[in-house]
Amino acid sequence: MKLALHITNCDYLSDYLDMGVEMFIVAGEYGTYTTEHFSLAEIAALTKRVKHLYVMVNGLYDEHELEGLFAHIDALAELSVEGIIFQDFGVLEYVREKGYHFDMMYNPETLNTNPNTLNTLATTGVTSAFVANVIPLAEQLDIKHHTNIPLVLQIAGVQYMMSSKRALISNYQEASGQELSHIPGVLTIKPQGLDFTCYAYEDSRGTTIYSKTRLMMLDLLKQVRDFDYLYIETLFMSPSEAIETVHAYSDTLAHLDDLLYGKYVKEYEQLLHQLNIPMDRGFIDEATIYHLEDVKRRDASERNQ
Amino acid sequence: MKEISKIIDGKRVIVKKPELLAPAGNLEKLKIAVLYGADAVFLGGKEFSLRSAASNFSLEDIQEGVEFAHKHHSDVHVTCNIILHNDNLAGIKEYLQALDDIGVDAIIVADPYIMMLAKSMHLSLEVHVSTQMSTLNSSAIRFYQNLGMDRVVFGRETTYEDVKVIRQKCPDIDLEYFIHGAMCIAYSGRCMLSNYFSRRDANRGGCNQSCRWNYDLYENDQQVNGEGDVPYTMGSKDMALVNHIPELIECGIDSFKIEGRMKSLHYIATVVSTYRKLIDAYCADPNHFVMSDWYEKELEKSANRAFCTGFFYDHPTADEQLYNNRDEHPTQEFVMRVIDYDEDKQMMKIEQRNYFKKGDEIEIFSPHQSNLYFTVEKIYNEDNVEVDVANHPMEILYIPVNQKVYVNDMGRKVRHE
Repeated sequence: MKLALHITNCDYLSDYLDMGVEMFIVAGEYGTYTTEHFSLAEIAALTKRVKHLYVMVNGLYDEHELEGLFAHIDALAELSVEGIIFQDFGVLEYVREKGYHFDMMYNPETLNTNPNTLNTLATTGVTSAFVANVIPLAEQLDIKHHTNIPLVLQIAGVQYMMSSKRALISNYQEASGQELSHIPGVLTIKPQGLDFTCYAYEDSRGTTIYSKTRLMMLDLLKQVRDFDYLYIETLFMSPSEAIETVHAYSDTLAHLDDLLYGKYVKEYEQLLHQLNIPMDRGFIDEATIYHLEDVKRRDASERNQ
Repeated sequence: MKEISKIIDGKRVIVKKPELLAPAGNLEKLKIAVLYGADAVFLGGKEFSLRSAASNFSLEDIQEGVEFAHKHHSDVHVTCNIILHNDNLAGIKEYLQALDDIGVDAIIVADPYIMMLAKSMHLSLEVHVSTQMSTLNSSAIRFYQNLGMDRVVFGRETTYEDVKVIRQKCPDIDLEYFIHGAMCIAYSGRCMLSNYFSRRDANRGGCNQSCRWNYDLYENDQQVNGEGDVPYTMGSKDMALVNHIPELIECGIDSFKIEGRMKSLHYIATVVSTYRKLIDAYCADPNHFVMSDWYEKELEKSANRAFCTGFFYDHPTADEQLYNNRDEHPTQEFVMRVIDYDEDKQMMKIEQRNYFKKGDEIEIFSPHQSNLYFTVEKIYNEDNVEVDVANHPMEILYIPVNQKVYVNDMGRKVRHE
């Protein structure tokens, strides 16, 4: 198992390399669900420093974007980029038609929720994938144990919640007459009556919402060690938080098989809590419901408590 | 791509009429959709389907629906569009086989595993790629075509300009486009707000519509929308492409989809009937067709939100979203369904659906004729006793009306603004 990291700049690349991070993910011109984009020149420069570089070509693309998108993929094929992270099967189809040899890592954020689907996709040219993080850990592990392609599991950082093609900040600004910041990370939203704060930001591809709380799985590394990559999302992290987080996970992983593991977990958990950043456990031990009867039963039970 | 129009006897007529595909939340709605002119209906089974709040169909219901639809030359599509989790995998193969055995014409699928499983089983039914996959471009459609899929339902974010190009690039696969109904605010299948806020799985039919909730907004932890300000919300007006049906017919879309498995019988009847009449009128004589505002006004009678054109032109603006619940309004009230008409006595037998009384003006709409209006002068119950009000749900009543009406015509109360 290797550490994988989404980075939005190269400021601490050497530190991350020293910490043993092997896979780096950056967004190029056509990347989405990110706040920073790397130019082709920057990606080319990164390929010289990083062995396993993956580029996010992970939007859902309109027809009129295809020409530029395909030119971008052609350009990536000229570089030593190891893989493409995608969710639009139009990207996979083009790569297949051109015979490019990228590791095609499928990451639709929400859809990879069972092994059969992933094994089916493996026959279509998908060569690796992210497992959805909106399912319990037990299901994630079951997927890992029954899937034939390398899998990535998010273990730390903010969690994807929603993306829209609409300009949901600008539209509100127009409707309300309020001037709002468009700097990612500044604006947050919270459903009225619910204590759950989310980052909401808008760019040329639309609006994306992430949890403000960071997923925390430091104490579960032994359970998830079978995954091929353990992913840390550094989006919205300050440089110090990113460094501390990556260091905590890499150092703990280094002691996975020795007697000091428990001690490292405890100490780094304390350290991360001292950063005063809200943490949560995502869906690790909580399954979702969807049958109307289950929803009614749960709502009634909550009312009675 | 099939030829769209032909000159017949010196007149251009549309020969590639698109399928009108309507939602069916239960058997009654299915039958009404078919009787009001749907070429096909889509419905969900008890398992493997989104919209868990809709009263989804058992296999026996589906069989009855298929028999009814086929008798009236309509097709039945069954949604199998949940995103499968480990605990949903069991039984899917048997379910697909059962749907095929029943004679279902197509399944609508989001999960690639179900797509490929259905194809590997060599079933007679078609496999349609659900809008849940947010397909917006020709390259993605080629991917599905190479997997053997029969139809792709566009993501609602696809603009008309893109649709035209895609139709040209992908001439050999059926394409389905949403023309009417509520819109997800997010890319379909990519929204987990419901999962995070209430642990209800949106991709398995449990969506709590949290995009329509009100939110507090903060800049650097400082609340920026206070009391009295427009609340931050993300909900959209409903899409109605009624004024763009001619362009969509001419560009060769194969199927026009109406959203709304959870909508009322009144909605189904009104929307299906209106689009049926519009499509037929245009296809009969496209060169002389004149768009009337009657169609949109008719649709508004069953709408509880204002209309917008979604992504038809481009990105929806602020004006196409619902802030502060403005532009939400009650529908015109559906009060009766005709179950018989005695021409000799000029008396209709109806099933009461909502309160009405003597003196109310009623508009009857029908798949068979133009809307007609009358004032309720007398109401009789089943004991032939005259009553002043109709206030018992589903009560059988008799009302004299001197214009011919048909079984399954619907009556709505005329609201005077």
